[in-house]
Amino acid sequence: MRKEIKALSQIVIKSCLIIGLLFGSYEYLNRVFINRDVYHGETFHSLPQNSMDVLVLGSSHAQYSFIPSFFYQETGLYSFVLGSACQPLEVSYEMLKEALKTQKPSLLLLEVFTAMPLHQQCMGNSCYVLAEYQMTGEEKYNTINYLPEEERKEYLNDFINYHNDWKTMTDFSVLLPKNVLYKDRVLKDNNFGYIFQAAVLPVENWWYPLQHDEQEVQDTELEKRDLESLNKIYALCKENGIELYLYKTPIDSYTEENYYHLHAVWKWAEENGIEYTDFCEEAEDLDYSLWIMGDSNHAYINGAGLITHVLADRLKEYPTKHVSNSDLDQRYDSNGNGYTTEYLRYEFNPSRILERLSRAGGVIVVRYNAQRYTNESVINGMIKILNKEFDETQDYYAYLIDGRIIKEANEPFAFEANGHNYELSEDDLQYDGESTGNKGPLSLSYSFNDSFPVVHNISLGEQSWEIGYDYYTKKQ
Amino acid sequence: MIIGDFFFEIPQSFPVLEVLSPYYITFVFACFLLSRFFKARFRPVVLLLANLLFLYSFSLYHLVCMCELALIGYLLSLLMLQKSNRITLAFSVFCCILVLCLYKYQGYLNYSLTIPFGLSYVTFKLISYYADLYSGKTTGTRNLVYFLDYSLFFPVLTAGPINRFQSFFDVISGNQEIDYRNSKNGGFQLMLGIFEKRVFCDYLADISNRAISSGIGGLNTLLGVVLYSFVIYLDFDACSNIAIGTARLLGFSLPKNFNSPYLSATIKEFWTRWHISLSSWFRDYVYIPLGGNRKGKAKKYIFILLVFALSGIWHGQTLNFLIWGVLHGILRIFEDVILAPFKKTNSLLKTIAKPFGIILNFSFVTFLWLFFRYTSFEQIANILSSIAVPHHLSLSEVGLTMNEQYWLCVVLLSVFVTDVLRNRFDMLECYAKLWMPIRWAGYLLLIVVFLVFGVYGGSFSASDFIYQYF
Repeated sequence: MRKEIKALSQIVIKSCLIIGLLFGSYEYLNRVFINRDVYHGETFHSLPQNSMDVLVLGSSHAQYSFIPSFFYQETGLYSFVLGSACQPLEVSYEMLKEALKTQKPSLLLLEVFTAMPLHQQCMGNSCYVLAEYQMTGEEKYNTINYLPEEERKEYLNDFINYHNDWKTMTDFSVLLPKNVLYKDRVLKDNNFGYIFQAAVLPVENWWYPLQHDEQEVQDTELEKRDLESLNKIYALCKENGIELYLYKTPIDSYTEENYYHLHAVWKWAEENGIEYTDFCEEAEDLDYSLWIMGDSNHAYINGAGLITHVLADRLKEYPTKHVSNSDLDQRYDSNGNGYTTEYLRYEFNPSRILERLSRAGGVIVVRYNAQRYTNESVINGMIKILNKEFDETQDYYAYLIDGRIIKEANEPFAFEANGHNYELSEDDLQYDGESTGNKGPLSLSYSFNDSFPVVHNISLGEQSWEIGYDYYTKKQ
Repeated sequence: MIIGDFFFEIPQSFPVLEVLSPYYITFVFACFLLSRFFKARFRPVVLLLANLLFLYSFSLYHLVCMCELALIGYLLSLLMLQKSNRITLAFSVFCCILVLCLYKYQGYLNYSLTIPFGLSYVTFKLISYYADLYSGKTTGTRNLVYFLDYSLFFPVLTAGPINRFQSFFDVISGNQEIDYRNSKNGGFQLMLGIFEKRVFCDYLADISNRAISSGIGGLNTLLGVVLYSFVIYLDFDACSNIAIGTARLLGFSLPKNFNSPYLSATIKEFWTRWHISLSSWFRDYVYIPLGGNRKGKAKKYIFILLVFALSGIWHGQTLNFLIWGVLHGILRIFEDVILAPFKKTNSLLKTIAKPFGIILNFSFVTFLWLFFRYTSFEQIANILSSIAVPHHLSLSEVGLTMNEQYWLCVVLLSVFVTDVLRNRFDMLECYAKLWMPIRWAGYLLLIVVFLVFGVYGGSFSASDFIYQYF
């Protein structure tokens, strides 16, 4: 009997040790084989507690359309996008509950794409990956529970999905303990939930006017689960003193059915006294056609910049309990400046170039040849950049660093900035001996860190300023 | 028609105890602990409950069908115990074969029934029990619980091995004292079986499929075909290891089912090393009762052909399986005829010839596996003509990354080395004698390798065991 008990205990103890080894190995390897896409390092809970002023929730339409760094540069407020591809409203509700564990935002921006029938074509379920990486407890469980049963276990842990990465792994240093066993997860990049998409050549004229039936608009009701989710989100916001604001980014494939459902959302908002912005209605006025991706649902950097700018304008009056944090300031600013390079590379609207530059850091170089006539928009734009009066009757050369004029003159000059040599002439700017293509009567160039200057040679004609550049806008 | 066929499935929340699932391991461990909790005389009841629960997890239909079959088998065994003669034996065997054929060859009889889980293996066990009763190799039992435990012994229901009654009875009717080393090795063997399946077998299956379906041809297709030989071996060996390990943990000893079969130099030797429990079953209950090699060479060859043909149709009801069996039989006979003059050759010559024999034998067996894998001759012809296309081996063209290629070499080397070693040693015993830190480092390594290289998760649909379908 004694022998039997001893044998049994040995087996039980050793089995427990094996299970311990199994879970220990699993936990270790789980930190290596993870989704290394946009969610890597974007650990929301590693942000300073109660630092976020604005939380953005929604689908990929939110992720591609809202740039927290730009929003900061325009409003001084800190924001984060907790969105994911095809994120249903019920998951946004769980995300909000999750966010409230460490943050107390004053404002919630809710992007409402998934209330539209079009979302049923959605293929992604990365919200469940997001759930795995950033959620815990009941919220994580509830989020994954929305999946069909056979898919659930794959999202309970990244490792199940990504352990096959060994097949393509080339950097094996990720297996080293020093790269795995870190104590606190640190926010590794400064995107704050935004997914950057570089611009390519814009699509052709895509917007079309919609015919819709007013009666249908009145009669269309929200789907029951969407209504429930919106009510729950609203109730949670009220309970936590959060202002709710809805928006919808412009999309193509805007059929009547989607239109009616979207307007059902707006009806609900109006009934509850909630503000919203329907960018689908405003897209034409914003010249939005230039800045959408090939699938005509998501924005490039410029489209995102536009949306963010409009939202910043409309939201800056909302009261917040903003508390400055120098580390966050530095992060938002540097990222905003980095994005500005990309933004400006494809921005052709002179007004928006000047507007963006007025908020940009980095090195800005101005070269202006005096004109007999110039338009007021130019003058106002230049005043914005220089933050002082601008005399259009004189040649003007200047360079600014982080928004401050370092040197200005009426004659060209050379200078050094950030370890690079710049040389201005009457009709060019050389960067480390290479021409930047800085031509025309007004030329603005911008560079951040070591990037080659992005140059915009701006026409001073009034017509260009009214309608943007030829070829790149639909308003001909 | 058996009543259970009309039983409708009742929705259940108990998880299916598939052998590769964590539920199975938990279940086995729970059975082990529970069986130790009770005194020896109650353990057969605990085991019976475990057997029934195992079947129930697949569905009530399987449980009811198999219980019916086992009960009918019990009644037949009582008949045999009452009066053991050729007539009762023939009747009992006939009933078992009738049930098996009614389910397995239903396609020819134009009706559709779900084959109860484990039917083939239970039928063969019952036949062996009746035959052993008749020949006096066992005294049998009237104890219903012992009988049901033997018939429905859950570790072997999936894919064998086919265990004989007497050795089982000796354990279940005895004190069943726990042997720590044996139980520990059993648990380890069970885990190794799962490791073998998930890490080696399924990985090679994936590579094999990719190589063949890549359409590149030449040595790439040949590689796919050769790898399939390893797949089928590892698949079955893994299943056997899981079964033997489970049984060992519960205190039962099951026969070894594989003994490095691809190191055989002849087809005769191959069948003493491959699916040993089945080939020995056919030898003991078909070949020898027919007359074996005691009735002259001509009859011996006929019996051999018959046994292999039966083995073929046992595996599957389509023509390709019959051809597979018959071709093995023909090769076996051919070998007997060709090698007869060399029986008295000196051992040095035999030793020199052995490696060539191994390669040749492996080639034949690999070729014959094509009949196992493909149901149509057209498909086999396509594979052969694809191999004939002159094309060098190019794993990158097949789509393997460098890491996958390295891992393929590691897997093949590991399979080869472990096969050679366990041909000579009891590897589990040798491992158990290692210094403790080394042993535990080994466990850790196996766990990590399993977690990283195991085939599971979203990207793969892990294959079931091939032999559970026979």
